[in-house]
Amino acid sequence: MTSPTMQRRLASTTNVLVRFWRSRPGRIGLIVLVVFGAMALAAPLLADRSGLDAVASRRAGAPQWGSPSTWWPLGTDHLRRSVWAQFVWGSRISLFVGLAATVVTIAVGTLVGVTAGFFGGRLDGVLMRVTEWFLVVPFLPLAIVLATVLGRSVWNIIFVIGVTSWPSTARLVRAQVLTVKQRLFVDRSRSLGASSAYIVRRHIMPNVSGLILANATLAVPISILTETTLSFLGLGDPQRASWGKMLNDAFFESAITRNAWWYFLPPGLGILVVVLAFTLIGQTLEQLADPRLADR
Amino acid sequence: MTLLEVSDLTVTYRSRSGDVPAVRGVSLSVERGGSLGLAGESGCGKSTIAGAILRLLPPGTGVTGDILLDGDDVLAMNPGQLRAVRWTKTAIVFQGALHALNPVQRIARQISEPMLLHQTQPTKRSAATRVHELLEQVGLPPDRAGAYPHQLSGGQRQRVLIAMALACDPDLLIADEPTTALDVMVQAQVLQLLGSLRVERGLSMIFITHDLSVLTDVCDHLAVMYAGRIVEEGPSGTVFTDPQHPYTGALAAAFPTIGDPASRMRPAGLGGDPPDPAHLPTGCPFHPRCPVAEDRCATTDVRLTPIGGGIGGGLGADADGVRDRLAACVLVGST
Amino acid sequence: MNTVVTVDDAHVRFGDAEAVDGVSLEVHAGEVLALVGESGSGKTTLVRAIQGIQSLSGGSIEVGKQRDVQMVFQDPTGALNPRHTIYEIVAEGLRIRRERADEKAKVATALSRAGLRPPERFMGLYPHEISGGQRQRVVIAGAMVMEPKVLLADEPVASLDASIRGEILALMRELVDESGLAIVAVTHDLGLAWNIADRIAVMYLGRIVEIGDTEEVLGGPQHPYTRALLSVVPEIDRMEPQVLTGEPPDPRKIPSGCRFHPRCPLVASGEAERLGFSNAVAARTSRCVSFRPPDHTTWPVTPLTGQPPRSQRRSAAAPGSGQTCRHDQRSAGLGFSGNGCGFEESSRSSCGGRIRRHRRVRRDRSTR
Repeated sequence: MTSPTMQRRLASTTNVLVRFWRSRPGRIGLIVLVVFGAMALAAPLLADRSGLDAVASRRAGAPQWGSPSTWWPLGTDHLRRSVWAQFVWGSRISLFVGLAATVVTIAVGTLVGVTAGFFGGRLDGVLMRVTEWFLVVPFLPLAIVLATVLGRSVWNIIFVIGVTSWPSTARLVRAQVLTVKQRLFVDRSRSLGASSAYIVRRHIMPNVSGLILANATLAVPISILTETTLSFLGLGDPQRASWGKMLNDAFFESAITRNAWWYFLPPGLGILVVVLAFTLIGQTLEQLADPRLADR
Repeated sequence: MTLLEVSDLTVTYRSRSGDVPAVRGVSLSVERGGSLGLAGESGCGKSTIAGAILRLLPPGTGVTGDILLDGDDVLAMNPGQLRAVRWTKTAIVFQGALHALNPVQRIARQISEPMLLHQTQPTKRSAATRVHELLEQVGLPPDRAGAYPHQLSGGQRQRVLIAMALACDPDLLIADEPTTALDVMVQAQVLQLLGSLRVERGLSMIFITHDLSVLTDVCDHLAVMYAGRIVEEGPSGTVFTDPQHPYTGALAAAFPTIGDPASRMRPAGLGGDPPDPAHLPTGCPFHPRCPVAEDRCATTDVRLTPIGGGIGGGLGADADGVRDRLAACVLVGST
Repeated sequence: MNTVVTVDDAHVRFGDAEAVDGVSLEVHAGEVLALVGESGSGKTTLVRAIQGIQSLSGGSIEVGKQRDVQMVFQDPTGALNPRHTIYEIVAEGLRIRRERADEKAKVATALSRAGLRPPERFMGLYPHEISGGQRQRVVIAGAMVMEPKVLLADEPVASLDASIRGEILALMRELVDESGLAIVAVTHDLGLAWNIADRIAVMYLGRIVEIGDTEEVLGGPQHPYTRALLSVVPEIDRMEPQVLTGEPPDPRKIPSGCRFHPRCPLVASGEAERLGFSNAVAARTSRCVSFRPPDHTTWPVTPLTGQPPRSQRRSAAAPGSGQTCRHDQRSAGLGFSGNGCGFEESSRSSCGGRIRRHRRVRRDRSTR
């Protein structure tokens, strides 16, 4: 890129960031996310890992189903583990899986969508049939089967979510590519001698990336929720703490009847807030990407 | 007999970044059986006027002035009266025929819709008969009645729009850029059709376009608009051949007369761009692009004044029924 | 004359539609050729074929290197990627060909030549920040940066406001006059041809039906189609408007015999019949210019004044016609490929029109 363009791009990006910050929903979402992200990253500083271990907790004299107190800010569970530790360390899994699964979804979905949309013809037909197959296959049975076959681990969860979520991204991207492909500036580029690779890189992708970004930010909460569901159903990694697992334990250990609100409210609210934050960010980005709303 | 009389119409669009004055004090009139051409480019306000006459502008738009349709003030009507008047007294043929038609309805149904809504045809059967009559009048084979819009060509779709506009037998037809984006021959066909409709039914017409040369054939009287105001007005033949306002001259020159050596290899155009209604220049809005602008043009707000010894007062006509020549330019006064 | 584009019997077929059905023409350096016709005439398809983004199903087109032919599009807003800066848009052609040397200087020069001065002011802008006329200038700059020999302009001013058309047309004329550029301007607007074109070619249903100097074709059109087109231009007082009925032709359903006959005013008015040119007669003598004989009769080859036929196809003399017309010198430069024109040099030409100076070109290969 040369300097007039670079200057302009810098100015545009700054402009977008400023406008993002100005919108209240966007700002709130971003702040919330930063807070949770910081918490996840600073987990070792916030809660000792031993709090996750039932044996160590017993030795430390933790009560069973203890309500929140000075030593255990969010109380303890049926195995005397610190709920706060689980919450803090569990956030890592939820966020990590959410983001990683989304990366897989977006990567595969974009690749399939762009290829099918741009090249059309039989390739498009084949890819779309594959996509439809994945769309139609019922999610939960597939997840259960995969978890059983592959074993229960974080990476497998990521795989399962990715494999079941990419079709809708693919369809979205393909539709957008079809629209962009027909625009006159693509014709112009061809008449200047551009190859398909050039056109995809310089014309298709920039006009599709806005959609992809907005889609991604809305896909993250879905992935998080999916992970939660899978963990809740017992398909998650039994060794790792995660919010879904906390909900699973809370349910199976009858935390509700015991009135142990400190066990299921934090993860539930945590999920709610994080999902909401991503949704707010995604909506704001969509609004910003719409040029009609840019000036007026 | 004046069918439509617009006095000092002002239309201001409201937007988040401020008010946009699209029309700034326009007065015009159409006699029964007469035809008025409204010429101008994008942003001059001509389509806004069409919308204003039928009150089709977005809610919240500021409209002041008077619009008298057959004596009734359109702006003062309540919704019931307005609905009764729309399409039965005045109808619009929109531009962009493909977008003005519902793509999932057959054209017969779309043409009969206003008839049934206004009850000018009591039953579906009589409406169907009328649809056939209308299709014939606009030169479409009646067997196309069951077609969908995408199955018709551009010219045919335009004819469908005209048939729709005629459905309730209006007195006044407003045609907003009906021939833009059509082939030359199809354009000629549509113009021929409009001309014959005028003659056969005594239809009055307002014809809106940016192509000045088309108006001279179709209209008796011509008004040229720029930046929300009329800048020249008069009988269509003379306005085109002997333009007084420099903008009219430029607009006329954009459509050169074939065979005229003056325009051979000499394309004539103006620099700059049509002004943004939200940011109009001071004084005469045309002065930044005017080939003969003087210093005072930037500071004097010009009004439409009679030229060549007309009766004056704007819309009168002399004893022969010839309308005034008017122009809004300080350099062309009533000298 | 320096010929920059040579089209030889080009055919383009889309399924069962013959969009371009045997077109031959030449374009010379330093001239503007207007390609006029309605939708369905094949003019846009032909121009896209010359550019190289449309493949031919027959015939050939010679243009030198692909970069020597550049296009200017009808919709300047659509032709610019809204996410690219003006600089990137103009530099695109250079970047595709990896000619990065002096890129900035070349872009600045191209912008200036296209009338966008000072060029630096425009480089960092996005398309939505400039006006319609300026966008078209950017498209022109993007074409000129490649230093082409031919510019193909597809309805270059149709989407622009009337008052700024003249400027863009004047710019195009300027580029031709100062650098020997050739321009092929596709348009349905005869006024545009009058404004800037040296020569004009009228197309109908995939064929050229009349071609020649603008003054002559527009001053004295020979073919009934050209006459009809000219007559409906408003402000043509010297001609009675002949509004043709029916729709612009569908290339999927090319009429038999003279392809113009369903809409030909001479046929409609019966004059053609009176002159003895019914379709049956035409089938044998094929005098009307758009005629496509069903039995592959070819035409007597008449070497044009001094010039040998381009393709060496020779054929039997057409039955019934003893004479062949003599072409005017200027027609020689049009490079007819082999078949001469089968018109009779008489006071009445085919179609009942009058030929004084012959300007029609028959492109009827009959090799189908």
